[in-house]
Amino acid sequence: MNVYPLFFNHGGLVAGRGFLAHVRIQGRCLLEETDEAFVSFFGVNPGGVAGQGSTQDEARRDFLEHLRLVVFDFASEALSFEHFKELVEAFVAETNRPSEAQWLEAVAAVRAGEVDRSGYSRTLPAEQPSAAIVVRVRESSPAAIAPDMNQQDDMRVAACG
Amino acid sequence: MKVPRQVPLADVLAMLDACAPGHSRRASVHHVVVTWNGRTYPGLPLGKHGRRDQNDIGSSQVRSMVRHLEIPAECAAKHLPSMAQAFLGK
Repeated sequence: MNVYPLFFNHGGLVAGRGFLAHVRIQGRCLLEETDEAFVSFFGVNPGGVAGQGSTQDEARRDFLEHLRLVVFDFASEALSFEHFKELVEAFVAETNRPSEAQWLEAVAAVRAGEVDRSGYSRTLPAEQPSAAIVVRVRESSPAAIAPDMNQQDDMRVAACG
Repeated sequence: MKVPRQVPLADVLAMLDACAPGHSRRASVHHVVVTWNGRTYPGLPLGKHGRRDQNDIGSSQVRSMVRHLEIPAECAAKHLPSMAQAFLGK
């Protein structure tokens, strides 16, 4: 069963009650090839979300979709932009500790050359999780909205050397 | 590892009742938000079309929730026997 420790980038514009926010999350997740034609993604930071599918692409889309919908849930519930920002930041900061332990084991396996990284050619140093886990929530006005807010989702293998 | 792709949400909620005593849960727009042991899992799907009676949800979400809330694996395996191998790592 192959397990990949990943960093991911995800973001976009979110509409709340009377506010518009630009959210960017750079977090950690774990890809597990659970069974034949069954792939799971487990959030590490944020720890409260997961995804699955028959292929890696399908599971990745499911994971990012659930992540996006959780943020939308926060936007529906938050009474203000500040409340929304607190909810998103707390969500990303809450680590799934068992998944984190597995993530760190997987980093060691990548470094030992035990994991095929094809399809995830770019890497980030795993020792920088505190720097690599980023959540930015900025309130936006229509005048401030610009194309540089458009962001492509990205995933990279965590390991270096 | 043999794991079912989907499990009935009703069975997952029954497992929570048995294995996470005192937990709280509420429905958000897209998910069931479960809080226990000082931790919150906001990503448990509601089921198709946002309905709890549209039963099945992805088993990976259940595994993730059990890990995140640190629900005892033996209890989760007992109440969701189809997922015992996933919870117990056997």
